[in-house]
Amino acid sequence: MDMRMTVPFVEALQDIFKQMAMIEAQTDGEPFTDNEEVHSYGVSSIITFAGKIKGRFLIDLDTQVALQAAKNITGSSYDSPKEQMVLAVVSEMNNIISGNAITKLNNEYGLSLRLAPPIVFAGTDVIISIPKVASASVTCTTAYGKLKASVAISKA
Amino acid sequence: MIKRILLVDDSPLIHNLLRKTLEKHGYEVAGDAMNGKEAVELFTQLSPDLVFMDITMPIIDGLEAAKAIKSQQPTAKIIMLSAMGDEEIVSQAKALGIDIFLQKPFDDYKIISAIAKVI
Repeated sequence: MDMRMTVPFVEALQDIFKQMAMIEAQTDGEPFTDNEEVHSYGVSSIITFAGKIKGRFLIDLDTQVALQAAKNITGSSYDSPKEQMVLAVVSEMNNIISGNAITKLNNEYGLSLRLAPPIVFAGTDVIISIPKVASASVTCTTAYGKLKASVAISKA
Repeated sequence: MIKRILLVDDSPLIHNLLRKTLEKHGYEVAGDAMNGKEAVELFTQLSPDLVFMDITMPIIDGLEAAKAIKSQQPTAKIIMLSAMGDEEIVSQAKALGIDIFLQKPFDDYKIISAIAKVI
């Protein structure tokens, strides 16, 4: 996979977490190829996109990162990642991160990509199975725990 | 007279955030639609002064809903509020007669200054 495609997603992830949730996310290193099944950190959201290419973007957050993001954005405290507003926060943050990243890719490469509505899951027993398509992941550290982002892109 | 605004977005978070901003600045939320189909139905029922419309939504997307609303009432005021903001999608929205196109994320200033330009 062309690693240049991952840059807008990682930049948007860091910008949106900082701007909306006031959470700094520092990348732990360069993006790496990720083809194995992984257990979710706690709350994950997947969004698909299609146009001249197709793909998906996944964010996976430690439960405390999701709860803190929800608190900082809405001003209310939450006890469980399964509360509707916590799931809504993670889902919408994924939508905005992906939308901002895809806007840059469309303007730069004319890919005519469009998003589908995001899906969100809560629970550390969720297993994320990454199909054998070219994908790149990056992990980040925040003051509240880890988060992971993964981009997969293939021909339409 | 208090201006009444219809909110259209499939995210409960966006409804929550927009409602807080609008009520804090003296606007009334006329209704909440979670997809484009509900938006068209509620627009007909409620005749709001303004619509905040997302694009990526189930059933009918925001561009289709805006087109239906504009064909029903060409003077309808619509602000698109979307995570996407590329040149192609903005020009599709402009072609429908959308008043303003805002890209998420947003803050109070972005929302209130956009409203002031439209109504």
